[in-house]
Parts: sequence; C-alpha cells; structure tokens
Amino acid sequence: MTDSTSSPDTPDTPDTPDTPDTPENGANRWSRPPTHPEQAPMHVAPKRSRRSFLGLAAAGAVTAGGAAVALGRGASEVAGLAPSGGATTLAPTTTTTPLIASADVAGRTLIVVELQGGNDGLATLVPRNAGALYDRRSNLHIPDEELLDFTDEFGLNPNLSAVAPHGLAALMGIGTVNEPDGSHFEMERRWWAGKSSGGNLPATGFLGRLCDQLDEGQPVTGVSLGSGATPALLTAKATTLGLTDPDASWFLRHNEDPWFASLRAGLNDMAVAGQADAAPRLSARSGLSDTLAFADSLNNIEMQNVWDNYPGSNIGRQFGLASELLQQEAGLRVIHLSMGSFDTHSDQRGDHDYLLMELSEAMSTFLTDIGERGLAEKTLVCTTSEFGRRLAANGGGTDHGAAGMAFLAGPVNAGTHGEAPSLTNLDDGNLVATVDFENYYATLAEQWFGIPSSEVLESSARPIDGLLTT
Amino acid sequence: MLDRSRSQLSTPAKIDVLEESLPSPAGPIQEPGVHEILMKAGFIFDSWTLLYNRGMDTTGMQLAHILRRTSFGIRPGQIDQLRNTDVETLIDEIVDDEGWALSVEEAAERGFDQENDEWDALPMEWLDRMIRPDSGLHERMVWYWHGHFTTNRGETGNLHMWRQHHLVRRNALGNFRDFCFEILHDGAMLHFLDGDGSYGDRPNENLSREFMELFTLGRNAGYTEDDIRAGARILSGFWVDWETGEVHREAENTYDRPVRFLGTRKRWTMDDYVDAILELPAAAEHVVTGLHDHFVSTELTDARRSELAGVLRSNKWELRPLMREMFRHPDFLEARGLRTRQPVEWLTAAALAFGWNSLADSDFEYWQLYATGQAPFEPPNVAGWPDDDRWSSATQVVARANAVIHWELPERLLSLDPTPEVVLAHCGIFEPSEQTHAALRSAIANQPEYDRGLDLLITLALISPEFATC
Repeated sequence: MTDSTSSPDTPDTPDTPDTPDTPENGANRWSRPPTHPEQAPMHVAPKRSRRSFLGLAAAGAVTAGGAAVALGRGASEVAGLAPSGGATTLAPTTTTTPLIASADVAGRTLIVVELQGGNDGLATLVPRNAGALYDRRSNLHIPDEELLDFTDEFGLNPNLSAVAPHGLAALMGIGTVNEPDGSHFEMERRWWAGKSSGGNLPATGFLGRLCDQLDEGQPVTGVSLGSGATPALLTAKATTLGLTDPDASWFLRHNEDPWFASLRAGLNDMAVAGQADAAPRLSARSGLSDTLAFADSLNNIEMQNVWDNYPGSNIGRQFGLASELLQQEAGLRVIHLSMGSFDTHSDQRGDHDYLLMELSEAMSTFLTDIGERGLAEKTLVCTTSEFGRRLAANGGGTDHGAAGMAFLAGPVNAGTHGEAPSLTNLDDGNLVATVDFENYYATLAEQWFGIPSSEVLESSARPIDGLLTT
Repeated sequence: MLDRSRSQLSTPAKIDVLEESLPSPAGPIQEPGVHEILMKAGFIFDSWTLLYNRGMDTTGMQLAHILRRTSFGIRPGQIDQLRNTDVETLIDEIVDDEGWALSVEEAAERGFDQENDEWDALPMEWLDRMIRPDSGLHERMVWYWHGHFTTNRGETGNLHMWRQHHLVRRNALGNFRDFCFEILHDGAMLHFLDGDGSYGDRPNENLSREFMELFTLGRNAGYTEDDIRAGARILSGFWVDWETGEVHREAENTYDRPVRFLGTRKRWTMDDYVDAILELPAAAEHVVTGLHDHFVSTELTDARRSELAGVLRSNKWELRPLMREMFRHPDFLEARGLRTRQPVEWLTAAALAFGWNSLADSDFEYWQLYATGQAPFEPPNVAGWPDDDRWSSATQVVARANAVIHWELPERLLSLDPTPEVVLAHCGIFEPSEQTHAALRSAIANQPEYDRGLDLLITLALISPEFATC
C-alpha cells in the first residue's frame, strides 16, 4: 500500500486541504476534532487513533470503580422496580398530598450535576467561625473574610463567585440516614438507584424512573452528557441515552463532510424494520432509530454557541450542549451531567477550588443563557454527590465521609435548607446526615415534576418543603 | 500503520488472499430500486439473503454461528479454513479447549497493583487475550463466569481481582462443584460479599445469601431466611490480607457449634456446605439456566432444563459434557441471530474484523467499554450483566460508532475490495438483511473514493443490526 500515494492519477493532497481545523468543522472525518485537554490524563491517545478525538472520558471516576449498565429501552421485562435477583415491587400509590397541577409542570426539565468522587460540603458552603472545623483541618482553612456572603452562619467558597449571584439553595447534611458506606462504588449505586439503604437495588435508576413517568412517547426523555451509560438513567420503558462527553455524538451532527451524511443515510436504511426480523434484530433497529431521533435534535443545535459562549471545560461544554438541547423542544426532560475528581484525598485546596470554579462558571453561564432564552422558570439545576468528606484533614486532603450537601439553582428559595450536621457530634469522625437523599429525590419528583414519590421510590420518603419556589 | 493523511487511493487495491478464498457471493443486485419496491410489497423480502448466500451453505452458516457464540468473534477467512470440518467435530474441538490459566503461585508471582494505579491495564490484558488466535470457548467461559460469580474490583482492588481471575480461569471448563468450593475461599469474593471479617458470633449474611440466591440455587429455591443465617455462621471466620490477597481462617472467629442448615443439624465443614446446596434439585437447574441464557437463548422449556440439569448431575458437575450437549442440540444450532451481543462481545468481534491481533498497547478499548456500561471487572451489581436487548440501545450505537470511527483502518484492510459483499463477509455477516445491504450499496455509491468508501462500508457493517446480534 505504500506506493498508493505515488499513483500518477491522484494528486498527493493532504486530507484536509482547505478547511481550518476549528471545532465547527472538527467533525470532518479526516481532520482533528476538538480535544479535551482538561480531561482525565489517563486517556492517552491510543496509537491507532485516527484522530485525537476521545469520546471516552470516564469523568475521572477511576477510583470510584464506576460500574454502569446500559441505558435505553432495555430492561423492558422489568416492571417498575425489580431489584437485582429479586421481586420487590413498588408500594401502591398511597400519597394524599396534592401534587402540582399538570399545567404547571408541563415542559419542566431537570438538570442533575453529579459531582463524582464525593464533594466536600464543608469546603463548598463553609461554616463561619467554626472552631471545631478549624481545629480539625487548619491546613485546608478558608479564611472567613474570603467567604462569599450566604447566610449568617455560612459563607460560600469564593470560587463559586460566578454562580452565587443567581441565588443558590443549599440542602444541608444530605446523605443516608441508615448505614452510610465509605465506598464510592456502594454509595454511587445507592444514589443512582435511588435507594439510600442499599441492599437489593432496583434494576432501574431514579432518574430513569422519572423518565418513565415523564415518557409521553417522545424520542428521547433523558440524556447523560458526560457519563456514558450511567445507571442513574436506566429505565423500564422510556428511551434514554448516554454520551461519554458532550462531543461523543459529534458524528451525528450536521457536518459539511458528505461522509457523515452518508453514514446517517446508512443508519437510516438499517433502522427500517423488516418482516423477517427476529426480536433481537428489531431491538437493534430501534437502537438505530433512537440514535437518529437524537441526531435530529442535535442537527439544529448551534455548537458554535457553545464554543463561543461557554467555558471550555468539559462541564462547560456539557452545560452548553444541555442548553442547546433544551432549545429543541424535543421532549427532553432530564439531563444528567457529571464532573469527576471530587475525590480530594490530597491537594484539596487547589484541586477542589479549581473544580468549584469550573462548575461555578459553567453553571452561571447556563443560568444566564436559559434566562435569556426564557426557560428559567422551567429549568431546575441540582447537584448530587455520593458522599461528603471527613471533618478532619488527612495530610493535604480529606478522606471519604458521610453527610455532604447539595445545592440547587433555578426556581429555588436561596439560602440554607434543612439542618446543618453537627461538627462535634460525629459518627466515627464523619458528619451525621440530617436528611436522607431519598427526601431530596422525593422533592424533585413531587414538587418539580408532580410525580408521586411512591411511583419512583421504594420508601415513603417525603419531600422537603420550601426548597423550591413551586 | 499507514499514514492516512497521505493515502489517497484512487483504485481498489488487490484483494486480500483471505478474502479471495472466501465463498464468492452472488454479487450486488442490479436494480435495487425495483428490488426494494418488491421487497416492501412483501414479494421477495428474503430473496437477497438467498442470492447472497449461494456460496455459503447451511454448514458454513452453522460453523459461523458456533464460532460467534463460543468465542469472541470470527476472524476474517476463518470460516473458509473450516470448510472441511463438520459441525460435530468443530463442537468437540471447541469443548476440548484447554485455555490458559496461571496457578495460584504463578498468579501471586505476576501480581498486580493493588493500589489501582494501572487501572486500565488489568482489563486490557484480558481483552488482549480475548482476541488472540488461541482464544476460544475457555476464554468465553471465563467471561461468562465473571458475570456469574460477580466481583467488582472497585471494592476489591486489582490484585485481589487478578487472583480471582485466575481462579476463574482454572475452573472455567472444569468442575462446578470444585469451582464453588474455591470461590468461597477467594479473597476478592470474600471481600466483595463481606465474608472477609465475618465472625461466627455476628456473621455477615451477604455471601451466604448471594451464594444461594445468585450463584447456585436461585431466589428462594429450596432454602429459607433461616438457612441464610445458618449459612452465614458456616461461612464465618475468614479474613483477607489486603496487601497480598491471601485468605486466612481463624478458629476463634469461626462458628464451630452445630447449626441447622437445609434441614440437617450438625457441625458443618465447607465441603459439606457446598455439597448440601448442590444436592438440592434447584442447583443444577439454576446453573444450566444461566449457561443456556448466555450461550443458547433465554428461551428454555422446563423439559429441556431438566434434561440439561440431568447431564450436569450425572457427570458429577463436570462442565464439558454439559457444554457439548448444549451446543449439539438443535436449540443451539437454530438460534442464529437470536442473541444481542454484549458490549464486550461486540468490541472483540469488531476488533477481529478490524484485523487487530493485539490490544496490548492500548487503553482505548477499556474506556470504550466503560462508556457502554460493561467494563470488565466492574459489573453493575452482584447479579452481573443481563442477557437482554438493552445492549443494542442508542447509547450503544453511539459508543460503537464512536469506536469504529476512532479506530484507524489498518493496512491489511486497505486491500479489501470496497463492495458490500466483500465487506459484509469480511465482518462475518453472511446473512445480511436487505436493509443493511441497501445501506451499504448506497454508501459506496455516495462515497466512491476508495478509502472513504471502504471506511464507510466497514463502519456501517459493524454498527449494523446484524453485527449487534449473533
């Protein structure tokens, strides 16, 4: 093959003769698509790489041993909540709480940002003048005068300055009220599945079950833009899909290079069901048509807006793509974003500050953006993290803890909610949770989407009043 | 590796020797438009398959099917090399596969990094082995048992996982009873299911429960909650050395008084414990059901289940006779295309179609699998990965397309004749649907330039519904 370039009939042109290598045409198959320099360093470009594009960030969840299962139409035989190997079903709906009128919740979307690794609540929303905190982690101390105004008792980490003016609600002391576990793996699974006590977990994810409830036949009800096949979005019937990063589907977007149009046309041909199709082949065709349906909503988005207006960080691009997807009004209701590297065992001050700054700038840009687009009242942003961190520092960082905090933006009542965990009454060095994350989930289900929590949670956890303005 | 930026092939190059020796298909249908109209009208919907397969007889189809199901994919040209082999001989050869495994001592000597610094090295080592020329049923059984006796390295660490991996290797085609006994003494398993540090006076029930529910009997199949508690006492006393993965049992922490378990009250040894469980009628039925789901299909009649269970029992839990019986049965030979390939199966089969001989210097494939939700050594929960159609969802399509586009076409593929027929056969697709054939016909018409066209054909073939199933 080495003589191929000397063919007299073929001018020896480079593959990308005229087009500059910009993100917009980066999806040109023979040029270099956008790279993500901020991504986890383990993604070394493989030798065989046709391009430096890496669609496979794992959101830095290496130490989490992040297990995941595929998303999508699968598990169709699973009715509701079948735990692994079990047969537990949801309790019948018994709620008598009047939920929100359906007209109010129409078109509402939820953006969940998963802070992977265990975000340090104590360094996110910092107790003021807390000797017990200073004593245990003086080397990680953020001086009071540097904290941003929040409440009398708490100040925000100064790296959240961009997003702070949007008005954050902080849910204090969130965790599991029974048998917290120090394993990323175990606690992630519980958060994803929406069952704080662990044990036999449902085969679907909490966000997936929200999607099942919100499924009105739209092509795609939920997407993950940073974690690939996150178990959080595993559904019983709704279509959800997961991208490993905001650019993982670049080849599905409109592209000047006709190769990609041909690829799309080919997918389209192969998605047509045939009379001779056995069930697995039919499912595979559905997978293709779901992909194309998603591609349609990608087709009209303006990635240039994202590149021009959003921070270049991975989370910035995730928020940017989320905003663009919301403009499509294609029925998307739940968007899962993720950020890794919150597992700050060492160098916490620098690393954690940087992570919060990236998050803050991305989130702030998003909130301003959707405000300008008139979507502020319909969009709720909230965070999750598998646990908080231990009160005492260990060297330059902190170990896995128990209770943490979550914060929300959008139609929320700014300020703190719930009871801040005690800094002195600890459980084996860990903050004790004052509110279970299932209560948080119940709030999102009932007060944001008008879905009875009994439809999406095994327990009878109740919502937290006053968190949302709705 | 050919430098793609310099390759502009103007003419199809010579046909690869292997390809030349493949049965020659009938060639493209000349008037696709007419054909498609007729097909839609239901007249000749399957005639393309008949035409196409003129060179591939039923035996060839069955040989291909056997290879797809019992290994990690068909190598280009492999069917042709087996032309003089009959189905029974091939099955015998496959079942006799010896495989590769390190002894306990060798595995300990090779070791692995327990601190998980080489996070992708362990799965890549296995993926590399899956696609080696000598990889066959044994390797496939190792993969199966990994999903059966699940353990997640996120909890156990790489070293313990590595040691378990070779325990699984040593037993994958051996004796199930011995396998059970060994896995109950495995450090990774004991750690994962809390047998590690389970003391007789307050035993942890996790391993006892899952051993019966998932590994041997099935939920509530012949045992009670009391048996789970009693089993936990019998299994007590073990601890695992975190640094080395070695397992110890301490008499003072082992419950040594009589216990009533499965109806018998006595002092139990570990041997007694395993034998008593496997005595129950549900045991062999549970084990053959799992194997049948994975290797044959999820459709299994009660009569056939009893038959297979009988084979396993009458052979004193030896696995080879059972596998031989399964593969020789019409249920297996007629199940072509009725399985949805799991991500690992898809990835290895695609890698073979791409012509990779080794994945040793890569990490891309691990992150690719991570994105799909099927990273080896990281099952989502103790029930492992389901055998169902979720594996062809849109998430998978995006991840697969991303992988194929990411992979550089190796030089050896750049000698393929860029026609749908050659490319489909090259990828081991011998029974393409008309939709897929039409997609490839249009593709090459739209992208006549040699390498772009070939690239598109291969991309489409590998994300086709045919390749998603087997």
